[in-house]
Amino acid sequence: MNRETAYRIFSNELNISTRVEKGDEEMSPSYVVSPLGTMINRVMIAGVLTEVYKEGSDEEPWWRGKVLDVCGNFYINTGRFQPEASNVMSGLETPSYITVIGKVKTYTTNDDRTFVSIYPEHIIKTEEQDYIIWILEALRFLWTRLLRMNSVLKLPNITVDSIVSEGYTSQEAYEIMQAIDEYGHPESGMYLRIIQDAMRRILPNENIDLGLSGSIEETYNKEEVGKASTIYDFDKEDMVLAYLDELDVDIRGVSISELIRRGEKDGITAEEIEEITNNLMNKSMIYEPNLGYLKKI
Amino acid sequence: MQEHDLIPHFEELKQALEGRVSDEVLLNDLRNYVFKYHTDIISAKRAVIRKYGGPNIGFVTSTDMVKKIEELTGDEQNVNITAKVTFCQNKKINSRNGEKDITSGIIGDETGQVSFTDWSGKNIQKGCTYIFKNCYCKKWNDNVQVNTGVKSSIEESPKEIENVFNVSFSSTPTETHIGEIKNDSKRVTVVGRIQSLETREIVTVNGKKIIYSGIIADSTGKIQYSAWNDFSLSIGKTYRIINAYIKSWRGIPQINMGDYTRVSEANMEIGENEVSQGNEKMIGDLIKDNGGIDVIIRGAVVGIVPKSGIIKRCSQCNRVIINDKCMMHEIAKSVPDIRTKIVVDDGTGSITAVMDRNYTEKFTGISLDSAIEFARNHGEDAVVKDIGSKLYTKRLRIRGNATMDEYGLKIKAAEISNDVIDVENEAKELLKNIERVL
Repeated sequence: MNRETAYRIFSNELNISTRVEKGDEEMSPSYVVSPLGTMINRVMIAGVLTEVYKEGSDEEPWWRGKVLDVCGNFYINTGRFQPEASNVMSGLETPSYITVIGKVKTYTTNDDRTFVSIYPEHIIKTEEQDYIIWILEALRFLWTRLLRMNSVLKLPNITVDSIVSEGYTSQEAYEIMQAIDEYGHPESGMYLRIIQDAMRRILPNENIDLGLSGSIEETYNKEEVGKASTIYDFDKEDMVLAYLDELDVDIRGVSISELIRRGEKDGITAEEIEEITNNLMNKSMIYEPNLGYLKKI
Repeated sequence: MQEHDLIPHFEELKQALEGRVSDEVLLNDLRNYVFKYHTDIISAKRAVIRKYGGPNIGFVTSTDMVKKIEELTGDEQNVNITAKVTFCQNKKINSRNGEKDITSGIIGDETGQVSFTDWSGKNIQKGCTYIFKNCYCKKWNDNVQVNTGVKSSIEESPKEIENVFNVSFSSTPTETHIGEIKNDSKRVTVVGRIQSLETREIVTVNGKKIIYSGIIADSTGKIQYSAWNDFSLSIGKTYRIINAYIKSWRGIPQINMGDYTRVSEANMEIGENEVSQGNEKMIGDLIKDNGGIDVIIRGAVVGIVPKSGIIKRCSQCNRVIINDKCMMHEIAKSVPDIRTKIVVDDGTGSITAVMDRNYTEKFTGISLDSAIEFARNHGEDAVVKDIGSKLYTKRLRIRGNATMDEYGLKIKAAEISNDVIDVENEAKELLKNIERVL
């Protein structure tokens, strides 16, 4: 009876996971299989807590939050069953650096899309350096998984046996097979961009170029659009209103292009922003003080 | 057995049944037998093959076993062995039924060699690997012999055994670093410094015997040793130990020096400062190895285990008192103490360790006195919570001996310190590796 390992994994790899493995018995743990072949029940993640939403009633509140790492957001949920974490969450200010240890849960919609969220066991407010150390750790594991996947995909005949004969355990072989079965060949370009991005974050004074063209955001958005935006079914209107609070620093208001850029980080497309802002204007919740600038009323 | 352990058996069945049944049904059946009805895998496989009319397997069978040569005891009645013929000769013998051709010789696998006799008259070639099915074993002069008879079959194995275990003791195993010794290492030659030495007297059938044991170390690691003869070892000296054998105790490998082992003083002394300062290990690897001697692990605190916080100890024996009663001393006076049982995780697995009062006070800033004071107002659970809030996600470096038991992996901490991580240099090194591969 081994305790579940707390995997260090970047948000991108976690969020695009769709394969769920459940034991037959009632209390048996469930896992998500990541695209690079790791079965995950528990994670340790770190990043910037950017948004906290209080949900439920005053008597029975619960919180959701977004934690940003180098390539996207982790979505965390605390409630009745995470009293300790809820307590911490209610007292946290945004933005702040946090580290979270928690269980991974998935939710699959009727149209077969899977969303991954984290139910924290422990939330700790930390310093930036703790986040940097975590990035290094997650980076190392990502690289190891990528190399492992690469070596397996070179095999002429990919079976549990052939993977084991490469020196991996049968458990690892099984996990890799699950991943290949679900996701096919991983897009190594995407992972290399995460690596480049993460390296730039922890070695800001180095000129790091792994020879990848294109900007990082472009690649992530392709993967995350449509996905991230529907996670938890966040009310997009509320999100846009929150952006206006966040970005409104002078009397002019927030430029629409800035708003679109902000929305893209959460996977909201420019078209959606336009539609939402139009709606909000119709409802007289926002107005356009200057051409191309928006403000909350 | 777990879900993923079924896969190889599932694959085997799939081949045997040659598409008579869908994968899904097959796997479900197998699961049903193993997990719901808790049958052993051999019975489950037989039942499934039977159900879907696979190759005829016969109804009455004593359970056949698959064994490695090392595991043979000499009283097997029905055993399957995959082995390579290293020597064989044909003989004619006179039996009750007249003249008979037999083949005798030696077969070997990775674990050992054993003599065999085939009574079935099959053409056996030296150098070939066969699966000897339904063999029976006998013991003669304390040596196991494998026999193949009328009920046995000898099939050519699709997989050749390349490294047959070499029984001749004239060859010396190559020199091994102590840090590289694994449970499946068989015989080794090491050069190491005797760190500690104890003697212990045991009674054997041949009378009293003194056993010498302790820790031997080189620059790569430390390992427990036992010597069954007096090799005149002394602490602080460096020895070349030739042809010792490895046995594992509680899953951790140990060096044993027996009759075939030769010990001499080494030309090069290993100084006290040159000895390994602990072997840095990933927790996942320690789990695979069942633990390790003098290892260093680095990870983050991810959990606090019950029975942490304020505890009571017996004033006479220092044992932890539960329900106000000492196991040994009826009228126990209790002394308060504080400790923390932590779970540390490095992303590859987790390990538990105990922080005693000193370490608890050092890493949490909560002293025993202040904890007692705090507990008076808020309860003892609140103390544990307070300790947790100071420790969760803290990165620690722990050195000690790691062992595995039914509760998982634990480390008896000789030293706990803050893990100081040189992010810049470690990141640069990783970057170099990545750039080299790309």
